[in-house]
Amino acid sequence: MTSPAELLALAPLALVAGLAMLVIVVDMIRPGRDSLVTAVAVIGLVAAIVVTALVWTTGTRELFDGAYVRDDLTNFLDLLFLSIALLTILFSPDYLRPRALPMAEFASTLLFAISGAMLLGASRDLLVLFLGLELLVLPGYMLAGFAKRDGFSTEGAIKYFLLGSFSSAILLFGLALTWGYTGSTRVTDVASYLEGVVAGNQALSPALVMGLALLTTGAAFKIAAVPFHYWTPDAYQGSPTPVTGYLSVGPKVAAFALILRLFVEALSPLKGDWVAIVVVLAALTMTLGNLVALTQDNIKRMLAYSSIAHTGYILVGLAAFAASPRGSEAERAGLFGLLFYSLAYAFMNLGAFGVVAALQRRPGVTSQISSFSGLGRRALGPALLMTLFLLSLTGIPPLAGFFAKAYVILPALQAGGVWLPLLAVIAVLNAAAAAFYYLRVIIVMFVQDPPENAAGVSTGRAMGVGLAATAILTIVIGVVPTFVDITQRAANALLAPL
Amino acid sequence: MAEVIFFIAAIGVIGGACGTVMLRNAFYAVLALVGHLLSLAALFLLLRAEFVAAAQVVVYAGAVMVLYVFVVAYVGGMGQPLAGSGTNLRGLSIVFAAILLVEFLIAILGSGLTQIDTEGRGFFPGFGTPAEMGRLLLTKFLLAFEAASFLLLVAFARANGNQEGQIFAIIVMVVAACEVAVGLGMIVAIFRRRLPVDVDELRELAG
Repeated sequence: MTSPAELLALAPLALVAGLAMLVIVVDMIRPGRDSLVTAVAVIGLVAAIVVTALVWTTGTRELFDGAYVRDDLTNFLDLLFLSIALLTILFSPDYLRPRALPMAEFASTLLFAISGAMLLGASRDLLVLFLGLELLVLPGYMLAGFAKRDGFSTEGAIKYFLLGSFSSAILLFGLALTWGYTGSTRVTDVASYLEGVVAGNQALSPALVMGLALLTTGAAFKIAAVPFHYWTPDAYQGSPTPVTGYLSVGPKVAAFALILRLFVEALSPLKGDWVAIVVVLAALTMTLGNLVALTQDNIKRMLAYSSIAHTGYILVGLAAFAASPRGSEAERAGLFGLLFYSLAYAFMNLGAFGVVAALQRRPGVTSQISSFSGLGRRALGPALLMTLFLLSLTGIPPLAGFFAKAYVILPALQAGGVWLPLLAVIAVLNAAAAAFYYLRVIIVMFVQDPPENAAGVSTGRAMGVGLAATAILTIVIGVVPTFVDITQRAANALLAPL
Repeated sequence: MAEVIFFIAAIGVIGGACGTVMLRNAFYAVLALVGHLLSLAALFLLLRAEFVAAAQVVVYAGAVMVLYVFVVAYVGGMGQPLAGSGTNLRGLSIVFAAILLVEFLIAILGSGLTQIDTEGRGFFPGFGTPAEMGRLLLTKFLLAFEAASFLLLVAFARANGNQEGQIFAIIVMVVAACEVAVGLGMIVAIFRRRLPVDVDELRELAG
């Protein structure tokens, strides 16, 4: 049975789950006090971040018979998810209040989703992985349709829901087949069974191969890799802007956590077989995402396609891991690149959507790129912040995005063979092509004249704090060694023997 | 006797699933789904999964289907038969479905047929009963059990010789019920916005 000292390892997850319910209770006692709810959520999340940092010092622990593990990766992911939730909550009052959308429901739904992401990142059991995933995505559907009276929001939500639950079913089918033919739901047992297959002790049954194919499809849906990306642009464009910011980073990083636990931990003995799929997916995802983003006139839709392209870059790190021989330095570097890219991407992308949300504080401001025209003269602060985030997304040194791209492309070059260096070249070409559409927004902001009736942009206090924090993180992540350090530890935890 | 029941239930499962997809009238589609789920419960019984079979009937065929019927009645299933638009994609979807079917047949024929005339692994007395399920849920699968109950809270706010597979089925049932609640809520929201209920006609967002 689990001892009280071990239960401490569950504290971050329990805090967030409790906070989600506390927010509802606070709203019941004092209905409609949005600033109170925001304060409770922010204080609770900061407390959870502190607790996670403290729990990190207690080392690795396994709970529930190995179903839940708190290792360096869990702690890294927990801190990332908590920061994403914190920033999203800081960005949302400015957008929600003018549209009379309830803050308490928004905050608690978001916190439920984040607790799902934290469960997902920490689980070494197929069933718990699936539950964490569902706990993550179900509130996500609700958030996408949060503006109930807005037809776009509802339409985006139902499309997200239908494809999301369809892909969950595919993933579940894969999990069931994997369980059925390996005999256990524990990630460690699945890995040792597959080790046996590779060593030639057991035959690889066709149904298990089918299961792995279904797992790949399901995971590709969740990270929005081409050709499984169709839900992304509609869901992102339709959702309320702070929700779009969250959807573009939270579920994506969590889906990569699923890939780390499932493909890197459980299925790594077979990595020589699935590396080809990852290489093809990465190349398609980067190229198509960037090409379609070039033609978009709506900033949310453009950033949606750009987020698809970034999925491709992150997959390059996974491909570098899978193509490298076991125990090699390139293998470690590939995983490090994947994690570091997720970290950098989360903050720069969230920041870009934060500025869009700030601009849309007055209802009626559309998310067309023309809304940004002359922003440099109307509101210099937001325009400079947007420039910072877009430059980081482009990959301009010394911002976070540059280091992230370097850390996924270099291992791909080191991995050897023909295909991985080719993938690295494709990634570099894509980064260059992406500069066009990011710079286009910057030109619209600083070169075009503002429209005649355009007003300035005013931001609330929460929004200001959130944007400042995101901007500082975007600048320092690449240059302050602490971030590289914790990412390195998380990557090492994945390669430690199970 | 078991074989006869198996084939009747199997035909019910496949027929019900086809009916759910193909029937134009939403009420009939829901009825076909009920038939599908009841046949599935019979299959569970044949596999000695008594608890899962009972839960299947109570949760799916009972509670979840009532939700469906309510929504169909609210949205008006009789009045507007679902349009058969999107014909250019229909051919493509049939091709993909056929490819998937072939893949599954290869996978199943390659893995499962060796055991078709055997009795399967042995089972102990009490296998699949509610008491056994409860013991497993509160010991080996405690975390999954608690996470599933937490998921339920969200929805309200808005063959190996072991029994793990039955736990799988129960957990999935909870998840699916939550998904149904969220999805049907969205359908109602769409209806109140007077948008088309037929998904193929939802085309305001495109580009």
